Amino acid sequence: MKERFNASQISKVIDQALVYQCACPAQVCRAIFELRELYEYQMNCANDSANDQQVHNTIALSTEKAHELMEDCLSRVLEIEGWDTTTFNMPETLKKKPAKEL
Amino acid sequence: MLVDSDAYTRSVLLEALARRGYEDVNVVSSALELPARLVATQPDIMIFNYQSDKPDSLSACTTVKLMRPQAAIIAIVSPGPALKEVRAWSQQTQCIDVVIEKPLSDERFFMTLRDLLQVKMSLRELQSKTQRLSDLVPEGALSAAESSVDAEGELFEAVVLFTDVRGSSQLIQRMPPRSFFKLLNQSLSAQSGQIRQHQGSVIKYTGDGLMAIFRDTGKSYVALRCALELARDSNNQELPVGVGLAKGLVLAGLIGDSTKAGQRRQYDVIGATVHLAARLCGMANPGEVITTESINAVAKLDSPAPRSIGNVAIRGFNRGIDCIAFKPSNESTGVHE
Repeated sequence: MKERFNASQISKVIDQALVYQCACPAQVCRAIFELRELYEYQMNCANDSANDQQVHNTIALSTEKAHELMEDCLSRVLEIEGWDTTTFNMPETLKKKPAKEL
Repeated sequence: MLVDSDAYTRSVLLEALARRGYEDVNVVSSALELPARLVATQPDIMIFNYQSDKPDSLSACTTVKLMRPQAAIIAIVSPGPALKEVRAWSQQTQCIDVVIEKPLSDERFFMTLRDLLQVKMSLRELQSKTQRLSDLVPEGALSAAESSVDAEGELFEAVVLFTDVRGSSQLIQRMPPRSFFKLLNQSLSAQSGQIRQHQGSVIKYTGDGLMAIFRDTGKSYVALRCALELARDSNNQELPVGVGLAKGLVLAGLIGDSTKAGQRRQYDVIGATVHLAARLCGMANPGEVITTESINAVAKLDSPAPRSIGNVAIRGFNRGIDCIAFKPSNESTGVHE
């Protein structure tokens, strides 16, 4: 599965978006991690029959598509919010916004 | 205590904590600051905001567990590989109590924090109560009360020591009762301190004196040394004591009625050895220790010189007991080399 963002970059977004507003970028990041785990799980699943293989391939394929979509989404969200896509630092303007009440 | 190396998330967390009424938060920005801060504070809980790009910061948790093992640690961690790493590290080191995933978008964090604080407070109250209770009851009583076999009692060999103020009836008539009470408490406190120093256990106070037992290895020697110190200490006091010592089997446990609500039980140590020690104490003059020849033979003290009283008929005992008296001077007692 192709990965546009590596784990450190995604983790860095989550670390900074701890409580910002509804922590939406972090929620997208979390979904990406979950999709990666789901894909990895399918890849490691035992294939006892052709039927099994078909099941795992179907899930893996859909996961891959969903992952690509969510990475696109993250890329767009970071762009809209003005994140630095090289350092993955949260923009200062966002830090000044009041944090969502936990 | 909040440990977070990122200034922004640190301020966000601090604000969120303040909004929930957690004002007294010790903020630490670097694991390096921790040791010095932990010397000065005893946090109930450490909130550790793990930054994925600083994996070494996990050492903060180790530092807290080493220096303040009673503190609970809540780690806030990003999902994905960071979470897996922290969970694996936590399983290996047992340093983290609760791991909460980022982003903190629900109540879980504060519910966990509140629950942990309640547990810590309850634990502290319980420890404080236990401490107060253990001041009131003899050592061993609490464990006996918790034991399911307490009805049977515990049979073991011990040296039993009794002290009693000599001439207390005359003294209490001579001085105001409150002054006597204060003086008696001072004397009993000093005696208890001596007994604890000699690894003995005070079982009860008997009006003008106390009863203690010694059950560890070398008990004859240690108990006799303790008895001599008690007698010597009381030599120049207004409340001089006589001391009695005897060794043998005793039965310890809870005595009284446990079947009805409101009934009272008490921890005690009973047996013929207890009676013998009490009788020997009754025979002792002020500042004197009376014990059995068998204890003297095992203890082998070099000084003070023992004085044989001979075979003494003791009320309640069929055969006479070979007894020894010691009258320690204010010089320290010694051991036979």
